[in-house]
Amino acid sequence: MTREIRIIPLTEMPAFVGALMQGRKVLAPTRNDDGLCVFAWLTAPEQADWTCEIPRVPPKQALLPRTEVLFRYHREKGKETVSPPPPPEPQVVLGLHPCDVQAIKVFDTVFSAEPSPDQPYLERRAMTTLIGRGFSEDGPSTPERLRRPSPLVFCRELGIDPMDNRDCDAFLVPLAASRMALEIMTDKGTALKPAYERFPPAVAEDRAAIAEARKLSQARITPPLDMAAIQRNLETIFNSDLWNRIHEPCVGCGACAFLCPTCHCFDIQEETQGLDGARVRVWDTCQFDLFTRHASGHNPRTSQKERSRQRIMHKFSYGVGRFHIPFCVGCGRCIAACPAHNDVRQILKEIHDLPRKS
Amino acid sequence: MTACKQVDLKTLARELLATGKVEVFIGYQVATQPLMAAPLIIHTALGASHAQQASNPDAERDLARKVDALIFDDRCEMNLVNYLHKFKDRKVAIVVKGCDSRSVVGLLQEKQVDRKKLIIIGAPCRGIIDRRQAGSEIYTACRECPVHNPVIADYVIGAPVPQPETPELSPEVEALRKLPAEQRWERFHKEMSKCILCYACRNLCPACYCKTCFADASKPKWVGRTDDPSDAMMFHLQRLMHLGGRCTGCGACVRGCPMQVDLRLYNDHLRSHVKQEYGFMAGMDEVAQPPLAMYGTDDCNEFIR
Repeated sequence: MTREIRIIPLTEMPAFVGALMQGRKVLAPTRNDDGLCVFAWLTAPEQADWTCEIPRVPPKQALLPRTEVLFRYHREKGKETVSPPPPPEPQVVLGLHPCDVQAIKVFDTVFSAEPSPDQPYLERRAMTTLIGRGFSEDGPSTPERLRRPSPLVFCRELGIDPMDNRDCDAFLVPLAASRMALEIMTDKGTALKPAYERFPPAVAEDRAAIAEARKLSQARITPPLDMAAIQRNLETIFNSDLWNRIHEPCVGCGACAFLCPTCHCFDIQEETQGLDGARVRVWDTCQFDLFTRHASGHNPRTSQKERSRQRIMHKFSYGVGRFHIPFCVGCGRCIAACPAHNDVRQILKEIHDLPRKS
Repeated sequence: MTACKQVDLKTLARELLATGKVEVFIGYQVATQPLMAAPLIIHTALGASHAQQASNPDAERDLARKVDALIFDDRCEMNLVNYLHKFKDRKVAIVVKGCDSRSVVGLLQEKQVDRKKLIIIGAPCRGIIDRRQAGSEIYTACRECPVHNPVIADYVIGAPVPQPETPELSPEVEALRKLPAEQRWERFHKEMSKCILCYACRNLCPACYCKTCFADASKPKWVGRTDDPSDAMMFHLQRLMHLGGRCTGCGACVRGCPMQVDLRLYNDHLRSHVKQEYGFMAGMDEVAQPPLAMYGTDDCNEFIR
């Protein structure tokens, strides 16, 4: 439920972001020196860029950093001392597309699953406030530049509404006349009051514009992808010839997985220097040979065929089977980043259209 | 390039696959995104000889559909030569641009492909559209490319294109070289900080084919995987060393990098060094001896004699 709505002119957004940065780290869409949109930790409020739609780098680093120190150690003869990392600091993830919010839901589901909930993740998550952002291509209040969303985004085909504010603590909706509406939904959202209280509450006209944009966005949701059928088919085609073709163009790099907002596999490594060291968690991907290589040298996934299959199976079968949630949110990042121009939408269509075996 | 038959791409593919002269045809098709082409790998029916295939109308239709999807134009950016490693024991036909043809020569020199099992289809090329610039320009590597026409081919699709004058060394690289060490370090640090260690550059590179890459070694582990730029630096510096005298400058790594790391700056620098010191350009001549892979009793350096 939306508790309150404030109206912030775009020109005042840096002031709002600056206030958020008081005592918190803020991760937001920015443009890097190459002009590429990426989620990055802000060092100045002006860096937040409201023209980004789906930044190339997803926001997952806020909850699953590329490198996370689990503990540090110091070794001396007959004595070892272990010290925990500093506790996580309060942080805000700002400007999340609803599909990235859904991806965090995937993280929450996986990392809180019994019997082994992931404590470092959950501690960091508890310190995190999510401020989503709506994208609506039609509606009277939609600024011109939002009327043409990226053709690679297919979240609607997975039933995700780009105006959905559920699972966020606060949510930004672009309004006409270069303004943003800030919706507050949770206690964590209300805790941001010092940052937003100086902005005026929404008037009836603003509320009507937001409601209209939501209505139009919802009307566009017609999920043509039958995820249940895809999962059913995947259960029967583990040994299919299909995988022989699908893996062939894939070069086996980790671009898709590292830039995927839902991919969360990691490796645990030692970073040592002399007698000091740290055990760190780093990103890993099922696309790498090393991912499944045993200490004996044996590797159960011998080729790209098995690895490509694993990627599709994990996202659309195993995840759905165990957690009832697909590990894909339709953000299209993997399509944009793939150096071989593989398109997961085509693969899904092919799997969906397979003739049903009786 | 030696004179060879100018042919139509689809007619040739149809013939090569129908007669069983090749089992695998590696070319391009339109990608699902604008301004892009994706690889298209066509097999004669998997596991069946071409004779069996002719008797299967479904497989025949599928093959005809794929051959019809073949294209070659200024969107075909991928260096397909990388895929030759996947089909080592097969009879393969492959479409190569000028730059890509140099990668084939490199692999022939290093005895990584069997020339008898390979049909090279040369595609003269004026440069590939830079999709990052919304289609208004060709890639820098293409603007500075010295081989718009393939250096080796059995067949050629399209007429040879004129070869524009190209600078000996990219002006940008030359400018970088002249900077003081601190500024060069700063730039290197900045480029490496973008890297997410996805290894797309390595996996796209036809010259990177080690069975176990140093970056994948775990006993011992040579390269860390953290976000400290020193890990990316280690990876790229080692890879650069391995590519000394072997990098042809095709630009596959630069175009394929999802984070836009400008590896060109360092590859170009390395190539120009090899050219200065040894007068050698990688991938130009099948019978030439790559300088860092040969040994002579008349070497000018005493330590190696």
